[in-house]
Amino acid sequence: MTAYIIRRLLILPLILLGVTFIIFGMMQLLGSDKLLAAYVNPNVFDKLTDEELEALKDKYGLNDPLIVRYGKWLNGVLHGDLGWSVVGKTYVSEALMQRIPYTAELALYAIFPVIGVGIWLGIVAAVNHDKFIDHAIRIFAVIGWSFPDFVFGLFILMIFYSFLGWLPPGNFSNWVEDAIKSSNFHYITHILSLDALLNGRFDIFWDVIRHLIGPIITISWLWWAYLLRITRSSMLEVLNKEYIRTARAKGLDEKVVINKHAKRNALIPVTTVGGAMVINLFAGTVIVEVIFNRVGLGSFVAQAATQLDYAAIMGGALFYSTILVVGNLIIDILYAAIDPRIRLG
Amino acid sequence: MYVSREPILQVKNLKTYFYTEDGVIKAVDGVSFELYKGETLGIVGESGSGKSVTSLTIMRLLDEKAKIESGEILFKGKDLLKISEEEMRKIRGNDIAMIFQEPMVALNPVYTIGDQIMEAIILHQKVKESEARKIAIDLLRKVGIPEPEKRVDQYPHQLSGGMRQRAMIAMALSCRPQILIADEPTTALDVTIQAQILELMKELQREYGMALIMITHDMGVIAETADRVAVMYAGRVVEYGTVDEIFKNPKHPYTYALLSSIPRLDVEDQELKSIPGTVPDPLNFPSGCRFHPRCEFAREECKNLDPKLFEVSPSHYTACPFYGVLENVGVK
Amino acid sequence: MEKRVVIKIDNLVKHFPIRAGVFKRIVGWVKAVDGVSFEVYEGETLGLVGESGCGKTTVGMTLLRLYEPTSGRIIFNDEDTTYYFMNYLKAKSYIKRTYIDKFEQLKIDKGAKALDELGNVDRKYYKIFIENGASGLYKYLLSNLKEKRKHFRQNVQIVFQDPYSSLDPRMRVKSIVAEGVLAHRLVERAKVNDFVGKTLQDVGIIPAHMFRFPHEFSGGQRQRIGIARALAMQPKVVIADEAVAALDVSIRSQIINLMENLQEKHKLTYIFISHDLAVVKHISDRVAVMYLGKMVEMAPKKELFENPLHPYTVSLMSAIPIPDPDKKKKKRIILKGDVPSPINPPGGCRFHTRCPVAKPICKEKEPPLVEVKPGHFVACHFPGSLKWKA
Ligand SMILES: Nc1ncnc2c1ncn2[C@@H]1O[C@H](COP(=O)(O)OP(=O)(O)O)[C@@H](O)[C@H]1O
Ligand SMILES: Nc1ncnc2c1ncn2[C@@H]1O[C@H](COP(=O)(O)OP(=O)(O)O)[C@@H](O)[C@H]1O
Ligand code: SF4
Ligand SMILES: [Mg+2]
Ligand SMILES: [Mg+2]
Repeated sequence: MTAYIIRRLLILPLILLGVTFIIFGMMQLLGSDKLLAAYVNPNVFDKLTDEELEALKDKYGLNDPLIVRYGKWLNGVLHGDLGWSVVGKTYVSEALMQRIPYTAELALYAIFPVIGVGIWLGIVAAVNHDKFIDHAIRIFAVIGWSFPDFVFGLFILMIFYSFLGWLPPGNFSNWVEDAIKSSNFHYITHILSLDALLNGRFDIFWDVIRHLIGPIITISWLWWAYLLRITRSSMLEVLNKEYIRTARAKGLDEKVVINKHAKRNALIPVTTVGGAMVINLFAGTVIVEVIFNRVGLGSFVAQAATQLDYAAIMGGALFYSTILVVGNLIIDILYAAIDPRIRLG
Repeated sequence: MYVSREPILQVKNLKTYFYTEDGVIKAVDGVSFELYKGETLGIVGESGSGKSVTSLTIMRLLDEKAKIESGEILFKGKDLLKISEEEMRKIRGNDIAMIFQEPMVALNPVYTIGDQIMEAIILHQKVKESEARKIAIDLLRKVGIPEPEKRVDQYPHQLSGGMRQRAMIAMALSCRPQILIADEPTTALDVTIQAQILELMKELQREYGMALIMITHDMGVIAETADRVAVMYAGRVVEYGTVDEIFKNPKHPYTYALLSSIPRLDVEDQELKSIPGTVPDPLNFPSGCRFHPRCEFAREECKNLDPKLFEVSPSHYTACPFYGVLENVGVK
Repeated sequence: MEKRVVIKIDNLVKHFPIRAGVFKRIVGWVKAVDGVSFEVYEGETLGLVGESGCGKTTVGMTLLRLYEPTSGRIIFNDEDTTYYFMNYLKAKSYIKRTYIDKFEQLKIDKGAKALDELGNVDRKYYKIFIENGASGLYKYLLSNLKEKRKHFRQNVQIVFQDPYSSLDPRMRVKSIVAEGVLAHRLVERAKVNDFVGKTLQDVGIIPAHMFRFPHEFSGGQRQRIGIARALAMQPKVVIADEAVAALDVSIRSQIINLMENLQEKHKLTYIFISHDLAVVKHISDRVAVMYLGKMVEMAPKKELFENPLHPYTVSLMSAIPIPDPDKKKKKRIILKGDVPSPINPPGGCRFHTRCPVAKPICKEKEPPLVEVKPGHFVACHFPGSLKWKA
């Protein structure tokens, strides 16, 4: 198992390198003028003459061959220098640091209910195969499955925000902004809801959560239904396996049969889907942050894209790719942990 | 071998039907037999004849589609069909154990062999984990698995088919059951491995003094292991008797035809008899004697026969009232 | 009367690569078949028996060139067919390696006298070589390759084990049976229905059922259709790979009898592959026993069963349960352990790890396959030393 993980960890940088190269290559399609904007403070940029522009391009190596520029960029990335963001009006690295916690908070809160509820309902449905509760859960899932997530988000926005006014858009209310900027609010995890709890500010916590409910439901809605379906069918399949019969023939309690013998096997295929889902939740935040007018990485990247903010797009892409690659690694490791046939070959 | 006349298990007029979308499958339709202490009862029949459903009914391990229509299963006088699920669980794996056909799929792939054996020991014998582990290692040694201390921590996929079946046997024997039901335990194995496993089972049966129900489609395995035999066809027992009676003096045309249709290693220039037609469709079993469309001795009455067994001798029964016709034909 | 050899395989080897890692490097070889030779005579049944994984199927598939052989020769009707399914360059290099180089040396050493010491096929090719030179032999062997392939494909047919997966579920029985025949233009399109009907009748399927789909038939009937498909091609040789293994006992005897009748009627030659020694004994004229990629013994049936010489053959016979309760008292030979992996087969005699009569030399030296009596071949240092009688 350790050898397996080490082997996978060794390939990891290679994959990341490949991904960054592709991202970098695609950005070069923009042309060198646009690219230069990433290196220069925009206030200065507009006033430059053509000669100065060329000189700057030379200075930043924009006239060098692609591979040389890639090397330099990579070097910058390794030193934490991702360039200047026009949209963020600051360095990309800083802009990312500010926004990632908001997005991470959203994704993390979405993951647990989705995985928990999805898998749990899937198992309950399978164990009660063809009984009332199974049918009920399945109908519920089919409805969930048939709604595009953004349509659902818009509904939530309309009903709970505009009409009922229960759930407000944005990341938090105005008064929270003042509160968290004051010196007696300490940042510990940078995940606002957690920091609020750690600071003993339950009012802030509740405000943040209220702002999170809509987005969470929107991005996770489709996924729990999907996870439920996968879990249910996987569990049904496992329950028909001979080793389940063997377990029952031993006289084991049905609870043990389900919880020990069936669940773990049923979760093997679910791991893949669940992992892909977690990764996609991060991607899903882009749409949700736009719809709910939230500050976060997703809305930042979306804005950067519309304004051709080259450096910011690169930074965001780098972050998302890293999540993807690391996420896939975690899935594979989980897979191996659950299934000895993979672990031991 | 000493075989007592005291039945440990009595199956009486058992009927298990499956209610499927296509119709009712009368998989087991009025099956009766006894199992005596310490003996081996062979149940033989072609695929779909109801052997597995019979054994699963005894263990009460059927799925929801199945319905036990009628019958009694008396284990030491107690009807297993009447007791609670709770009580049945105490019997399963403890008094009556079972091994299945496919050692490849009958063990849980994500737990070690040791874990799966210990589970039953801990459950039924109420011993501590360390104690159970010792028992498991001893059992593995007993069933002939080399390096049991190492194997106990291995997963099923790390063992060969023969080794897995040995592990299954170890698991089944872990609580010294009084009855072992073996459903085609060697069908998936190669012959040299089959010989190993059959030898092992015989040895262990002698040592543990348990009664064995040996289910198979292989007449050779039956002749090899069984004391008495029930021949099944299309959900019914068509002939029932001692192994000598069944093989040397078959009194049902199906048994007779079956015996003359298997190629044999010990017979020269054998002419193989063919049983015409196909194995009957379980949704549409023929009326009367279910073998009649394929039977060379069939007559008009066979289409409307009541299913019941006729006594040939006190130990030998047949479902065919016209078994006299077999007097003159002889096997081989 | 001299028996005519229809098929001869000569030191056939098939190794499958094992790939692993990200780049799918070859990390080892499954030595599925490792130097097997036999001849099959016209009109006979050669039984190929051995436990699962010993390489029986691989022999059949390689013979048919559904697998490319690693090395060895496959001769059909006195012609080398080994190169038939290779690309042109490979075929040429095979011919050079196998014949031209050898013949050139032979011509220098012995000239035309060498003809007498060569086998059938070699003699024929050597003659061409002497008369027309290397280019003449190349031309003889490489011309009309397409025709040659067709001829081979038509004449060597296979019946598979699984009657459920070997028939395309979307094709009607008629198309299944007629497909090859039409492709090879063995019958006219207009007469196809008649032809298929007759073939189906031959195997005991009602001709009117030719418009049905495979799922409308039982396992035994499907196997009949599989046989009809092979039979329709009017082949010389039929390879039956576990053709009755998946069938119920009562159906199995029907199919065995059917195959025997068809053989007589159509003068077929069978290579009957099975793990079941009793079935092989029933149907074969000669039997070859395989173990772990090697042939360990081969003999006419009667000779093999009365006088088995290889300890593995003897153990196999003793392991088979006999449907006669009187014979159960007899103690059988129980082999220790499992069949070793064909990836790392044991050195020396491959059976030595399980052999009850193995001596130190068995671990050291591989016993060659020798003809101990006319037609009786065995590969063992101590043939006949393990005895057992049912
Ligand atoms: N779970 C099931 N659902 C529906 N039919 C079943 C089920 N299990 C068995 N049967 C049917 O019951 C009949 C007897 O099956 P079985 O007892 O498994 O035969 P065998 O003698 O081969 O063990 C078959 O016709 C089979 O199709
Ligand atoms: N396509 C293949 N790729 C890799 N290994 C194979 C392949 N086909 C067969 N083998 C291996 O070759 C050996 C012989 O297999 P096979 O010829 O199928 O044996 P048999 O038919 O006697 O059971 C086995 O170990 C099997 O796993
Ligand atoms: S050569 Fe040796 S090991 Fe091999 S079969 Fe003969 S006696 Fe046994
Ligand atoms: Mg069965
Ligand atoms: Mg095979």
